[in-house]
Amino acid sequence: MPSRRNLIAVATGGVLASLGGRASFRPLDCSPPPFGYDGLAALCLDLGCADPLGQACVRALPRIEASAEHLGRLVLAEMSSAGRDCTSAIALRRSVREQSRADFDRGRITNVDGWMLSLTETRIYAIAALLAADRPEAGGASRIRVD
Amino acid sequence: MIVDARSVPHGTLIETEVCIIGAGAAGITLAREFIDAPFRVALIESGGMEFDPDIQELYHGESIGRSFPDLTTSRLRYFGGTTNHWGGWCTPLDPIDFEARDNFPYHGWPFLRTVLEPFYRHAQDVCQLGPYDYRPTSWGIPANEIPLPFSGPDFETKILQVSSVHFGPVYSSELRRAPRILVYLHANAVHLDGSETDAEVKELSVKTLAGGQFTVRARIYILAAGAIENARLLLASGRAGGNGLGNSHDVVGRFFMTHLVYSGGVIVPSDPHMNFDFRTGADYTGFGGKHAFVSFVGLTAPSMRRLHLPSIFISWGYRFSPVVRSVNALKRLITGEGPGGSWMADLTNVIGNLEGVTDFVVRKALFGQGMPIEALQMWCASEQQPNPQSRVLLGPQPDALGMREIVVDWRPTAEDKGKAVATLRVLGTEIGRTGFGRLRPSMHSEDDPWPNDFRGNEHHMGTTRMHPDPALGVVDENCRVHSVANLYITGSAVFPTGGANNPTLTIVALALRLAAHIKTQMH
Repeated sequence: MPSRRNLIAVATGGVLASLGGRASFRPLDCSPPPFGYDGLAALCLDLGCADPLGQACVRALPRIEASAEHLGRLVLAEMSSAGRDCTSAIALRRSVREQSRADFDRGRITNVDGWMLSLTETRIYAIAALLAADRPEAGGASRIRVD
Repeated sequence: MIVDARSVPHGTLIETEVCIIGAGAAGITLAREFIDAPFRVALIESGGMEFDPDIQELYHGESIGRSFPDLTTSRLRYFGGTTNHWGGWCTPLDPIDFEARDNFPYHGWPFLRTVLEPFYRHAQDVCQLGPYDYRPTSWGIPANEIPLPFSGPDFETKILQVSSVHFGPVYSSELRRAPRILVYLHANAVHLDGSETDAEVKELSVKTLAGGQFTVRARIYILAAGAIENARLLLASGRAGGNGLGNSHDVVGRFFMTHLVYSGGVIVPSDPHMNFDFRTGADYTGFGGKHAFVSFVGLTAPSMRRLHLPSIFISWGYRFSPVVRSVNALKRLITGEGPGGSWMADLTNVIGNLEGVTDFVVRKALFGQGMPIEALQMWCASEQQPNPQSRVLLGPQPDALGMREIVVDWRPTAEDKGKAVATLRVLGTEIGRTGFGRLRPSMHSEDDPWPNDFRGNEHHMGTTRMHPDPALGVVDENCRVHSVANLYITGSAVFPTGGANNPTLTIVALALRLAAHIKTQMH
């Protein structure tokens, strides 16, 4: 379960800042990014998302969404239908930020261990955790327990 | 003149025109307004000029409802009353607090705030505050520096002014010099005699802890002893075997309210270096002097109306990033000043967090940014809805004077909690929608319990509420007890609804309004 300190660590470490983006010192990746799902996956891996938060986000989502690729395509489809620009790493970050705000506006809010998060960012953090768990050095997807 | 009631001979009859019971903010304000009036005033105060534990113990009572703070510590029973230890926070109630509201049973005053405006202005002087101006922009907080969501549309930043006036020490000399005002210290009002019909107060019985007893006979009596003691005296008065004076509709003691205090949760700002100067407590030099103020956050009136939410007072404390400790260590290393660890410990601290310290130094140098904020620990004070089941009543135990002690049956409702949850939900949504950060509220649903630190505070209100209908209120809009021709009540006891703002400025304004009314009655 992500404690307040976990979320604070993540937030001050870059997640909320890079998605909320007002004063992040985190350098944006300027190398040519892959776009589409791969681009989103790259962004998620770059978040440095704390494990407990991402895992809690996975648990907060419906079980059917417990695949990184499925979640990624959901996020991209929704952003695309909202007319958001996903053609570069910078645009993708901005679009995720805008989509998150729109989620709050439309009541698409999740409860992740007590934190009120937007559905889009919940999916993003979940993708980060799922991708991290899928890395060979992490021991495979079994690290994520989906209730 | 100030008299020690213990020196008044047993059985004495004191005759006067106006008798005020209680020398706190309300009673002293009333008495001061009568200093130049052509009639005599007796101000009856239970305590002396200093705290006395034996007198304070007369406040002892029992709580049988939701757990309630100790009655002997939440108030002070000596000249000046609770202003002897108050924080001095002053702000008027908001206009919406006076309005009848949909989905808020019993809400609203018999008049709108406009009626109190001239008295609020005067109350500013009594409390020795700055001008009657509560706009943050007037106090050096530029509107464009207040971030969303605290600059609308659902929430707004407000200010309160801080009074340093303790009414006892500040105003005792005026009253001591006033020829027609007699202040009786150590004088405990124990019974109002309403004769056969209880339609008029004939006299007041007073006792001292030293065993003395005397009587005060006046044309007009005014209760100003606080919401709990006013109700207690009414319930203990009137005909023997009756249910109290002015209580033919069983309203006395009911509708007891406080402000509902609880931790609201934690906010993580998306930008830890955000300028938080809009949320501050500071001295402001302006308006011809230096004045202290504090800012806080509340719901806007349109939002309260649209979402059917009560008034709320939101504040927070800051939780600084761990880098602050390293930055302070660096400062000590550079300046060689201040408390802290050893030179080696400071150096280790800085090296251990070199990245954070460098980030701070660069931001400070380039942007003038301050210490990064890790989180905001939020606390709330919500308006409690008027509830006739929430009440004070007399218990079986007598106090040292033989007067029955009070029993408090404080009952915030599920609806109060539901509205608090709804408010936190709106706050969390707005914090996310505007990109300010994220909220972890202390409650998510109406099924959640109140947070562990939930409590009623020291703002006791409503036990003798104001309402034009005697079945719904004890006093009319002039603060006169409906069924008793010469008995008035003032203070927060008459608040029909209490908003979320600190009550003292309104208490003083109401006392000033009542004083003006009494003068016309006495003319």
